Amino acid sequence: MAKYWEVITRCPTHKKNVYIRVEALDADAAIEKVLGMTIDCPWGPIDATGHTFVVGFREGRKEILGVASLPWMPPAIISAAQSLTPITPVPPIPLETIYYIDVDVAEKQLAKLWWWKR
Amino acid sequence: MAEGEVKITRAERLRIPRLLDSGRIAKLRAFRTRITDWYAPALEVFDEPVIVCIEREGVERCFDHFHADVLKFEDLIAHKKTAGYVVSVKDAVLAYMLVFKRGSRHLITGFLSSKYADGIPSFPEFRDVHPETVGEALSRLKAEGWISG
Repeated sequence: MAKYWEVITRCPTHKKNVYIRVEALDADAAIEKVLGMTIDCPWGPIDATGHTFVVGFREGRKEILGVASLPWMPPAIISAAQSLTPITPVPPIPLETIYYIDVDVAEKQLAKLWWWKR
Repeated sequence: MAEGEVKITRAERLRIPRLLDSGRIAKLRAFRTRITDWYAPALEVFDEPVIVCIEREGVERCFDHFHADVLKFEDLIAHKKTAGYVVSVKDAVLAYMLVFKRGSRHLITGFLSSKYADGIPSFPEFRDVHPETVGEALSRLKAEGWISG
């Protein structure tokens, strides 16, 4: 079903995972395709020059940590992300006339109350 | 704006018990003086916010007056009383505006006439205040330049 595969291997120098995307009919075909491939290490140069490594065998085992199909789920059950629900604005109509006092005036008057606090 | 239909649907002073935390008890013990030796401080304190809901044509708005602000309001009224004045509704409205910075006729009326759950008015001097009286006080304060609206 999935045509694209992500094969996980490991850089022998950096000891970090490297993800290789290949096109193949199934997982085994993807692994076969990756084996022997020369990879320009995406983790960058460990010293001044960059390095490449060959995906192969190590200690008698394939250097493949895992295979994942891309996309993870069949496209039929992947839904588009929902957008945010539009908010209906509520007009801020006051129920009655609101009176305001100047905040500076109020603070000045309140400060007079506790005149000993300076 | 037609204001005749505004109703005060709720004017309540809550009494929310709050246990004294151990830090406050420790502070009370540390600052105990000769006077405070005479009585044991209560281990229970209350938060007493005032909730006022007003409604007009099916639209209801609720206003929460926090306990700290209510204390500030009571402090202002008490100061005027201590100075020997009779505290009028106009003074109370001005104190409300100073503390809460905004207000309307029914909102202030609800605040002044709020009651505890057992029916005891939270501000006994103003328990029978009417929106018309508050509106008159607001108009005068506006004419004197204290408030705008």
